[in-house]
Amino acid sequence: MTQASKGLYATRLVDLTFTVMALGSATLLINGGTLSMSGVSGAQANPAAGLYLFAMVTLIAIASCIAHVFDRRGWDDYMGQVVSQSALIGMVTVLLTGPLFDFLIAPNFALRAPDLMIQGMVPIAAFAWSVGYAFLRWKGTNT
Amino acid sequence: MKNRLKVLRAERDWSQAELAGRLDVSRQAVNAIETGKHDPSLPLAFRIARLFEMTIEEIFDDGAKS
Repeated sequence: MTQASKGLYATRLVDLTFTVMALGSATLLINGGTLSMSGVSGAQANPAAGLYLFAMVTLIAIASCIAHVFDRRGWDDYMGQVVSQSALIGMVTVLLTGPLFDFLIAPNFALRAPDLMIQGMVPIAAFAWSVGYAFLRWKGTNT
Repeated sequence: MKNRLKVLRAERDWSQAELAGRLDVSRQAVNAIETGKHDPSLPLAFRIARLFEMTIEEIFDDGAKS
């Protein structure tokens, strides 16, 4: 590992990144920023919608953490690595797809990426996760 | 990481599925480890070492000079 990559993947930097991400995302969720962009009617008129969304995301995330504990105990050493590493690939793809689509593709079709993101988030995540899974099954987790 | 899993398995005339059963992992996991596509977790490395009655270092080689 080079000095540069050591710095890039330093635990404290990753801790900081996730802290900023959590605070920024929570603010967006609570303020209804994601709802107003989604085109859901009444989202902006009712600020409670943002709080409901934030609470739901938090609860589902906690439930997923608990489910992950059972997954860890139940799944195979290799498949666990493949599934979790490919999930990371899927997550990064989801995070990058929205902004890139918004700047590069959407203006040509008079579309807004947030519309795509809400309606297409599940298939984007599922497809990207599947691509990551196929890649890691093919090349292994040591690539 | 290089390993001797395939040789050790062959010496005992075990199939990948049989070894997988003894280690309580999938056959795909055994195949991935044998072909160097996957490094086992530490608990699994210990299970492998115990099964073959060897040390982890005798089975796995990380290429580092001691």
